[in-house]
This record gives sequence, C-alpha cells and structure tokens, in this order.
Amino acid sequence: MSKIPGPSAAFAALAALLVASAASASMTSYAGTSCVQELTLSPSIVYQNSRASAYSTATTFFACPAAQQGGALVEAKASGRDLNPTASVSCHVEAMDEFDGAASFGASVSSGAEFIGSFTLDLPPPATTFPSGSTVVHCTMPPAGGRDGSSIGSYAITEM
Amino acid sequence: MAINRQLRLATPVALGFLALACFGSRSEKKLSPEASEVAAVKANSIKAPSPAEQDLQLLRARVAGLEAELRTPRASPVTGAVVDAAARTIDNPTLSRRLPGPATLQAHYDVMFANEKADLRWAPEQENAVLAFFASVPTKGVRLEKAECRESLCRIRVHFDDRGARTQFLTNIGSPPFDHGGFYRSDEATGALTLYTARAGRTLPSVDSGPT
Repeated sequence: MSKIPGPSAAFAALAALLVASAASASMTSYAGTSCVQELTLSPSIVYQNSRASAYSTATTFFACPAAQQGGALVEAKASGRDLNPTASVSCHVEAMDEFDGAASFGASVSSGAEFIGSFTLDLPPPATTFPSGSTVVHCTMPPAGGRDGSSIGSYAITEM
Repeated sequence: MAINRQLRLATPVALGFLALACFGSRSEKKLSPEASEVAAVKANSIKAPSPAEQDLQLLRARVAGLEAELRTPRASPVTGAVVDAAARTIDNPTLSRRLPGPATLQAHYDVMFANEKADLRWAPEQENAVLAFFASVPTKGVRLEKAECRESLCRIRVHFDDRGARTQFLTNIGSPPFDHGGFYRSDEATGALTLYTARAGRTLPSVDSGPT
C-alpha cells in the first residue's frame, strides 16, 4: 500500500525546486571600466576607479561586453550616474551571433530625461541568445554638461 | 464511430509527417541542417493556418531541423573531433539546450509576422514612425526598402552601401522607434538587413522554448 505524501513533503519538494532554480542562476558583474566607446577614432571615454564616464559634448555610445556562460540570459542591470539634467542615459542588452550577422536585443530603458543622480536600470533580456556569440550591454550616454560626465559604474548579466 | 472519426483525423496528419520525412530525406545531400529547417518553416508558411496549425507548423519545422542535424555529423577542423556544429548544443550538461540558428530564427519570425493580422490603428502609425525616422536621420549609404507592421511586430528591410553604413545604422538600435526589443539578421549575399521590432509593451516572442 503506497503512502500519499503529506503537505510537508509537498512543501519540501517545492523548497528543493526553488533552491535548485536559484542555484542554477548565475550572475556575472563587471566594473564600468570594461566598457568601451563605440563608433569613434577619437574616444572621449574616461576611466576612473570602477566607472567609465562620457566626457564628450555630444551623445556617445558605450559598449559593455559580458562573458556568456552558456545559459539563457534572464536578467541584466546597469548602474551609474546621470549628470545631464535634460538628457538621459539609456541602455539595452544585445545578444549577437559569432559572426556579428544577427542579433536579438531587449527593450531599451532610460534613466529619465530630467533625472540627475545615481541610477540602476533593470534591462529586459533579448528574446534569444546565441551560445557561440556574445552579449553586450549598450548604453547611449548624454553630452557632458559641466566638469563631470555621466558614467557607467557597473553592469551585470544573469543566466539561467 | 468515434474510432472512425479519430482515424479520419489521424490520416492527414500521418500523411503530412510522411511527406515531411520524404522531403527531408530528399534534401539531405543538398541543404545544411539549418537550411533544411528554414525551408521547412517557409514551406509550411504558405497557407494562412489556424493557431493549432501554426503550432503544428513550428513543431514540424523543429522536427525536420532536428532530423537533419542528427543525419549530418561533421568533423571539427580544429580538434578533429566529430561535432554537430549546427545543433548548437551547449557543452555544459546542466545548462544544455538546443537553440535555432539565425536563419531559422528569421524564418520563425517571418512565419509569426505572416500569421499576424494588421492592427489598423497601430500598424500605420508605427510604419509612419519608421518612415519619419529614415527621413529625419538620413545616414549616408543607408536605404529603407520596406517597412511593414502588423499586430505586434514590424518588419523592416534596409540596404547598405558598405559595412560602415550598417554599423552607423545599428547605433540606432535601442533608440525610438527601435527601442522595444527585436531581432535582426543580415543577408550574407546582399548585405541587406531584416529587422523585426516588437510593439511597445510587448516582448518579441522567443523561439527558444517552442511555440507559445
């Protein structure tokens, strides 16, 4: 005669499942100094401590690469400082194939045009990742207004 | 009576799979696994199917692609080991999963796009936004061929004179009207880029986890 598992067994199984799911997620964080400036032969990106700052008087584009560990990209974050009172820092995640011929990209998230201060952007993951390709967090940086430029201090991706 | 009805329903399905198997075995020597999968996706997208048939089409495409991949093991030029490059299976067994290649992804998005009905309010607005973007941000060497929107997706075809023009254009990914997520792929022969963008508030459907 077989025993029907009680509620405690069901809870234990659920807990084990949750622990297993949490264990299989892996987050990789990077300092903002891993970012590079795109599309220019005379970059105005400045590295200091852990951050990369945009010192140009024009809009600049940062590419912040992240190592893939073979899982599906489920979450990404970018943190930094927005010092422009009229324009925002906006970022999105892009997963590219190994030939840079195809890519999937998530929705863009911005710090807010009138926002000034420290921000953390939760970036929606792209619909697809390419296991042999690469993942890059792209950020559009506003022009530097005064002595200090807006910056990326850190970014992270989580794979499951 | 119920059995007869089931037989009547099962027969066309079985014939469909038989036809698919014949098609797969004939094209085995000519097409790469991904090309077979793409062909299967496209071949099944000619009719305007019901949702259940759409799911069946995507499943058939997957089965055809997986069968083709299983038939074509290849030797690695680097290690000499026999690997199935097209299978795109990750080595880590705990994270192992099978993913479609870019051409197959594009074929899937083409099918999804073809099966959508146009939202008569949103689609023209979004097409106009795309046209306005190309009019207001003229980039040297970039030419918009076509912009179409339906219910949750837009499909945009862009031609480039050179690689630099493509790179320049791609910096606009993430900015309006291309800021809601999407997928793009360049045609290796022509260099033309096909871009699928999602509607605001929607996410581009994933084809990793199967039809939803």
